[in-house]
Amino acid sequence: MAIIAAGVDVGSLTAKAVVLTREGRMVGESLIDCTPDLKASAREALSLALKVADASEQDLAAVVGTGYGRGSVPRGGRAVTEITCHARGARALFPTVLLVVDVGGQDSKAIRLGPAGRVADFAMNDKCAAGTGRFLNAMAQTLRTGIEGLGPAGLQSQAALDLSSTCTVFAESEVLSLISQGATVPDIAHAVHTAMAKRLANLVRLVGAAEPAVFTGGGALNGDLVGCLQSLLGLRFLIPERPQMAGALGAAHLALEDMRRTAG
Amino acid sequence: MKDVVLPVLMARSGRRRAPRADPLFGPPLKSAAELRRIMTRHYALAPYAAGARPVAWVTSGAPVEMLRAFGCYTVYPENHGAVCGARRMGPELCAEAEAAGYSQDLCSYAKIDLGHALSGKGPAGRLPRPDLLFCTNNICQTVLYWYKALAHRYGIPLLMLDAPYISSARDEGPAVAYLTDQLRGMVPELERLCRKAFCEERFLEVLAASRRASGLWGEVLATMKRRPAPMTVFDAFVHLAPVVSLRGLPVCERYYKILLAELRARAEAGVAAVPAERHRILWDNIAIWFALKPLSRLFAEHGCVGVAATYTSAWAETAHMLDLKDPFGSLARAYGLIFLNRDLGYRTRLMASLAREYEADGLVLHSARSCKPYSIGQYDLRRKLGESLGLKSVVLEADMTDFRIYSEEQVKTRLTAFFETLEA
Amino acid sequence: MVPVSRGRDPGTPGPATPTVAAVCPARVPAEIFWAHGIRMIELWDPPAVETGHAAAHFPPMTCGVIRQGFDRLVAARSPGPDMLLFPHTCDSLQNLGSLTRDLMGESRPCLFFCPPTGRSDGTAEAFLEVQIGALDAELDRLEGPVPPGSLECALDWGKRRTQSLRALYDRRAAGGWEVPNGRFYETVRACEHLWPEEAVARMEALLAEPSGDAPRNVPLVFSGVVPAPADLLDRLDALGVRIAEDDFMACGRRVTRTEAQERGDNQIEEGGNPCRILARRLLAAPPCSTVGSPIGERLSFIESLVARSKSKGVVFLSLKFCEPDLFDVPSLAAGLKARGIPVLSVDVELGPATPAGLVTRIEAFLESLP
Repeated sequence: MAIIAAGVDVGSLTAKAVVLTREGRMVGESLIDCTPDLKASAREALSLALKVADASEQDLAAVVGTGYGRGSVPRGGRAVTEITCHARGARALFPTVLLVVDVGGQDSKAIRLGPAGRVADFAMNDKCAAGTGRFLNAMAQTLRTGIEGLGPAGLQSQAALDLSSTCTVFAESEVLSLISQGATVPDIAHAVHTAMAKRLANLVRLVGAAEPAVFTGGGALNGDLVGCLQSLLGLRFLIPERPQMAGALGAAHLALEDMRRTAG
Repeated sequence: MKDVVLPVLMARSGRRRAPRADPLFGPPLKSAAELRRIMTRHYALAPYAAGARPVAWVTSGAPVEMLRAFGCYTVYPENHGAVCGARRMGPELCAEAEAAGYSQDLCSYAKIDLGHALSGKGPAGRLPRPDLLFCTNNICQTVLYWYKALAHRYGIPLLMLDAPYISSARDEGPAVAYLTDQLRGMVPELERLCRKAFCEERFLEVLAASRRASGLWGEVLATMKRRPAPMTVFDAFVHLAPVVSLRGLPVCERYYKILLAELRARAEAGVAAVPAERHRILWDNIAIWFALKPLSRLFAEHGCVGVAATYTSAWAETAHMLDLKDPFGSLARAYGLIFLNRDLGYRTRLMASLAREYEADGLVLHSARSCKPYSIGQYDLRRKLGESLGLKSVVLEADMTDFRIYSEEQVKTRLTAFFETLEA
Repeated sequence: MVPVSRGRDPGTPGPATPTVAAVCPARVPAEIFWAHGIRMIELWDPPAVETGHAAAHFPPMTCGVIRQGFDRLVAARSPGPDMLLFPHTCDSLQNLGSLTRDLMGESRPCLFFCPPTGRSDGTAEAFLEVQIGALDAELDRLEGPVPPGSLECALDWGKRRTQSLRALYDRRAAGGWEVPNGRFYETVRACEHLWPEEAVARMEALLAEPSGDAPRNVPLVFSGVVPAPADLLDRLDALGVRIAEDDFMACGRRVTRTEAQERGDNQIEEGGNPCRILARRLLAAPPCSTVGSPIGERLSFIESLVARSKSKGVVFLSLKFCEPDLFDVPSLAAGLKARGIPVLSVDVELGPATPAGLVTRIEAFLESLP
């Protein structure tokens, strides 16, 4: 069996794993819901990805863990932050990328890369729900679109409404007030995306906007959110096929580099 | 190049459609049209100052008389901040500053100004680039941090008038002596920066004009002692602009004479700002610029009239101290001894005397997130005034300009509940 | 040299329980207190005492130093401090002082000290001298006049303390002396509550420790109010980060780094007026946002710290709601980055535990360093 490298991204909600051959070809991946037992979740994600790759842990030459639970990666894998891994993952998919915006369930970040692909600067929002997937989830509930329906709803908006609150709680009450005034779900959804995009745009401006730019994380699946951010910044964002896997992919590539280094 | 902008702006400002009559309120102040004309002209002329005269950005509590003596063109970023607040541009400009790394917890006036300096966005176009900054920390320390950042970004001199905190009466002497020394020391510095010799005659003229204008402002405010009041603090917040940013100039004095005459006539005729006046309110802290109309309405709906405010009184408080026989010393006293630079006990006594003079039976405290010196201590002020005068009170959590953290529902509920306690 | 703690009469043993002053940040002429036999306890980030009092007096946008300081002052039962000192460091402290004085009533003297801000010229120095003199007079009134020789003794100790601090900082910056961050700052910050002779003894003991090398060690410059949260230093040790130099308000900003700064002090000592000497000492301290030092000066100072310690970057630990520092940080960060110095800018709060997000940011920063 070919020697392989793996990356595991253990967040607080989901765990993802990616398996690469020594040539860097992706042969397995997985995405599961996490339990509070991060070690077990990491193990499960990894073994699922290995199964897809038709391999076993014996074939693993290197593992890198990232995300909130990066300390819980099996086989004593090296822990690397999700900032470095998202940057690396985006680079693997788009070799000249200079800006990565990631919107996950619990946090959002903007990462600026230097010309050689190193992280030059980063800005994170991990304290406040507004600006993260949690905000979108809350709004999706209030609007009863479901999280997958939020983006398509926003894309059908006819009128621009204003959602000024920066606090999720205030925003929810603002949304309810808009509903009672007869505003449509598409218009409100679009307003939600615009408000969130403003926060993301601020993160981007802190690190410096640049192209090529990549949007990763679950938020990238929301076409209206991406569209709002593009309009605000005047940038075009490249979206990976499976945007939630960027962290694990980056971790896997770092594991590959580890492997090559020890091989000499 | 023929200027078309200024005449258009001026014409527009005068030709505003008359507001519809609102039964909640008495007739609107006619002088407001003149005020709009004056302030529009002030902002419209600003771009022409650059290059023609030294442009100074000035803090609201600074002794501008020093600059007027040298013919500087003055810009008041705090006043500009209030205008941005009223035009609901606060969050947008704050976001510009935040995108440059300034914390969201910082004073919104400062962030609006820094955001404006970085982006050029604003309701009155780009403010003229400053040649110098004039800062006095009698109102707060934040202005120093803010103006330092401006000085660094623009690479220009910052003239600092350091006003030491007066923790008790004992501190007055040394503070005034220090301020006087600093003021004298600024003369040669201003001569150098403005490339002009100090003219004492001009200086004394300005001092006298300033004193007169501040006195007139005090008389304007005093008309609200009447029952019913011919205007409210919400009007006062708006009509404050000239004494803050045009003090010492003839236009300022002229304007307040007009306004005072109108108010006196109204008082004589028993014209009320709020015909259904039942309760009189003392307001503490800066205005909530983006919500003046709805708040004013809510007050009026409950027969409540704001008749006094510590914020508006500040520009009349110490003006009487200006003395042409001791120009530097009296400037030091008038600016060094303002209430915001003094201990909370002093503030409590000041508010108590305002409440008594204006016969206030309620107190509304705006807890402005931006403004620490004004807001920290309000909980205790409120308790003390409740104990000593039986004044009922309410705290409103808001900000001068940043409505991102403002919950209209919450404020409405609190105020309404408060007004109901006044009725009981 | 006679220890200050011997009390007011250098010849006899000091009082069993000397007068204690609780002192708020940041810059005070400690020597005046020592001369009067008063022990100073500085309140920067004492472990939180949950009394709930702060919430009743302060709106949410006040920093932890204010809130925790207030809780501690109000919670202090007998034997609490005998007096309180409130330097005019910022707007929040200004009102903390005023509030506390009103609450304390006559039970404890509350002293105020207002140094010049935004200027450091001759006029400012003259005013500072007056302020220091006023403090001295007030303490004379409360504790009786200072015995002859006490003030000079206190001044000498002040100088010695600064010299010991400088020696520690020099050694740390030079590298190859791998004392853990926790131990280094424990010693430096002992100055906040020990008599100067005790503090100097502690520092000299640490200095005497031999050199050694830790396996991995990234030198960085840190800037902020205090190292916070409480376990951050241990976390940094675990990450292999050495705080090689610092611009902390409670630490590095009180240490004159070069003898040149001290030399000015020497020149006026011969028969010099103690209040003037102290005024010059305070004005000679490194630049600080709380006294309105120009941003350019702060930038040069931090750059010099990076150079002298060969640090790989600068970390700004901005204390939430601390206006003086927060207004400076964006310009400082931009200025350092423009000179090719990597910068990490994070918000911190006082508290026992470093949040995971802060650890992640520091790790990501380390990962990004060339």
